Amino acid sequence: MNRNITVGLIVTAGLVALALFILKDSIIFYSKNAADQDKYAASHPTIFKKIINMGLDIQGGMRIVMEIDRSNVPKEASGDLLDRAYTVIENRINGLGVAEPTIQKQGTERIIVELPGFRDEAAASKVIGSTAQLEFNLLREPAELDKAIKVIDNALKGQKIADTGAAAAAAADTIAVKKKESQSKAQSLFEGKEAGKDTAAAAESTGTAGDKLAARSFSELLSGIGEQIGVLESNKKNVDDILSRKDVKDALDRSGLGGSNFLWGHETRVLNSSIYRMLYYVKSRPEMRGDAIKDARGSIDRGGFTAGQSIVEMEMNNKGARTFARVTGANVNKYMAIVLDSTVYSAPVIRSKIPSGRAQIEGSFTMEEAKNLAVVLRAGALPAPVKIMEQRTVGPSLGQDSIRDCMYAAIVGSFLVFLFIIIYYKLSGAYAVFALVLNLLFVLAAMASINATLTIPGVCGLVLNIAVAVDANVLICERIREELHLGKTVRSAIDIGYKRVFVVIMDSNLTMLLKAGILFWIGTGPIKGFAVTLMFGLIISMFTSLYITHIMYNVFTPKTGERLSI
Amino acid sequence: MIMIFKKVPNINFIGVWKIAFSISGALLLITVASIIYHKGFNTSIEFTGGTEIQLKFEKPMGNDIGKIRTIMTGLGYGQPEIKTIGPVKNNEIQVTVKKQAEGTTVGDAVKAALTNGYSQNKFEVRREEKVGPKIGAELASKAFWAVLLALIAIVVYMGIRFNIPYGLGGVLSLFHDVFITLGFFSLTNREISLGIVAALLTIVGYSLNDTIVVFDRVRENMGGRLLGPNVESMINKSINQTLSRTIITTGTVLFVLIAFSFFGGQVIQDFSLAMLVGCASGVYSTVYIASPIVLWWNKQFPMKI
Repeated sequence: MNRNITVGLIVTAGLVALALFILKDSIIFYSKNAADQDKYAASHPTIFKKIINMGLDIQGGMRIVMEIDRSNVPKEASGDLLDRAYTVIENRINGLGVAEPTIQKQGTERIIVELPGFRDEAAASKVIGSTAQLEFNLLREPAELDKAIKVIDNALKGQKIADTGAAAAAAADTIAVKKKESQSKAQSLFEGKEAGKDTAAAAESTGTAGDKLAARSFSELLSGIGEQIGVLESNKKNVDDILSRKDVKDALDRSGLGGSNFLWGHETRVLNSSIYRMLYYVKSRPEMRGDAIKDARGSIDRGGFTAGQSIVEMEMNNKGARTFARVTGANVNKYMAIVLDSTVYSAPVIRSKIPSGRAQIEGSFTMEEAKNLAVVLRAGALPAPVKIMEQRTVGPSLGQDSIRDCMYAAIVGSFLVFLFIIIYYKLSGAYAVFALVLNLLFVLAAMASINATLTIPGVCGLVLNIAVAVDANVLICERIREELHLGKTVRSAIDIGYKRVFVVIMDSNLTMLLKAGILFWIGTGPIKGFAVTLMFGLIISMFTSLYITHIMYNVFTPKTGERLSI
Repeated sequence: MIMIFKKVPNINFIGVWKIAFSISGALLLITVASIIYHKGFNTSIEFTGGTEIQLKFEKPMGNDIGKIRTIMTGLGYGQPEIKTIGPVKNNEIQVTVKKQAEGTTVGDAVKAALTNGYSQNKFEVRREEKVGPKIGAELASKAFWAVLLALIAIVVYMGIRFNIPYGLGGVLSLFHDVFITLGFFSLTNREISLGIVAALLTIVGYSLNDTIVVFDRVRENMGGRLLGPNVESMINKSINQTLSRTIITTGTVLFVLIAFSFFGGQVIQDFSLAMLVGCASGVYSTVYIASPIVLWWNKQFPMKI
């Protein structure tokens, strides 16, 4: 076997293996039904970064385009309105608990939010409607936090006894009522017995529930991260459930820890390849509000121990400066949480009293993080109103119907084409079909590797790609036939065929590539989606049609072959 | 060997170009007339702005469009467009209101009115879209510029790889295909949505591919030259030589499109229809638009040999 052929086979096999490896997650994910997909996504939090995602037009969900409303904003404050609105909206969207939300800035005026699978319009308009609340709350002392955790644990353990008691009391009431009734009835005793049995059963069942809760005590859900506590991302809901229980709240109030709140942090941290979210215990009453802030910006520290590090500089207005001086003076060495819409963005420690109204927040920030925190601080200083420009909701049932329809059409269509090509061109047709299948596989793998989203226009791009790839293979086969008719040998017919067709395919594909590039550059959302799949498809189909099929001919056509199956 | 033609056919395609040119001219005139008659295109709310809601009722509602229309007209949003989606047994309707209002007011009003009017027959919202007029206008202008720039780039590229008359012929044939498809949509009063714009882009790609295949063959047959006294017979020969390929490729594309029209749901049907018209026009225009333009140029500016 020729060395070029061996190299070609190895390259092809390698690419197929690579494509299958890249597509592994997509195949696993999409071979499950909807319910199992949700479960799988919950246990594999990064899955959506690894697979081809379905666009909102296919899988259903919500898309909102917002535009900044500058009409009520003073001119000097409108500079970074978009960044502030973005921060506020991002924060609230993350609170909605949508699997894979995307929030993008477009130009200088717009924010686009896409929420796959989400269709609660009321919740979505709340995201946009109200203005942002920025507050500064003191963190509770570590000792108080420990106490609160113990109180909650005890409240959960006490659950068993309290619940049983309540159930028994309720059951007793029922018996009393029934006894009253039974006085006028003959079967009173019998009924009483029945009710007694029910009480026992009720006590047993609450007992089991209590045991379950005790096993999942509050402190077991927490992990110490530095001086703060963190919660495994997957346990976030459990913690929320416990903290919203009335008995837990009552227990905290009784133990003198009222007026405090547990708040989630904005950042997550990765420890031992698990994702943790920070949980802060803060005083409910804010020490200061966002309106105290005049300006904030990320910058580089020029002096002192932290010279050269990224910091956030914050400037208060006159009233804010006085409040800040008082608060910092009274709470040196305590932590102060910066809270936007109930999410803690940072919790720096107060080093000393700051009377000047100019504060500096240090931390191991990157410049990016410092800038983001500055945006958070400014977001509270002024509301950033937005108008809805576009809102689309596609119900999940319509989405599923269109996926099913697309699949049917694609499978039936390709099957007919493949069948026809094999019947018409025999073995040579089989090579072409092999190349077409690889073409599709490679395009999908390329899309998965850039974590692309497949929309309906994207599917159109794929269809055009397949049509063009079919054409390339037809061109090759027809040309080889022509050369055979002219009396060329099999070997030279194949070689001339490829040489001639190469020019056509290059011209045709490069022109289309140019077109797709321009569409990608200028076009918006859906047109971009079309352009992306088309660009991948064109590059890949040149390779599969011109290279892979050529190798197939070389492998399967003997050098002395007199006849070619075409 | 299964073959369409036992030997290369020798059909005089170019000979009848004057007749074909008149047919195309007539079709383009009809397109323009239809666009004027319909006062522009029936564009979807993606371009004009408005609210569109697709609903599926739980129980059969029969031919109840009249009742829904009365309810909708009562809302005071002008005359909303109401149509059924898919077969009647699906109980699925679509309401389109082009009038604008703040936020999702229109959508909420439509849903509330239908909930009232059909208290015994619940419905599920399959799709709801609200587009502001500004977004729509922007989308339309961006799509227009993207397509125009892409076409200019194609003239330039083909001008370099072939020469100016070939580039011009190629692009004018693309314009022809896009107009014919738009004309079909205008005549049948079908809605032009973003999906149809994607179909138009696909048609441009397909038609361009077809033109390049034939032109490339002309270049090869003329030994690398592009213009000269024998160009008419060479174009004719090239079209004949690539004829079986054209039939097979177009045939397979039609296969797929017919499969799509049958099996693909509502979303894909209009797309497939646009593609069917456009692809047919794309094959035709290579022979009867692009080639005659090259011949015309060749006659006007004869090459000095």
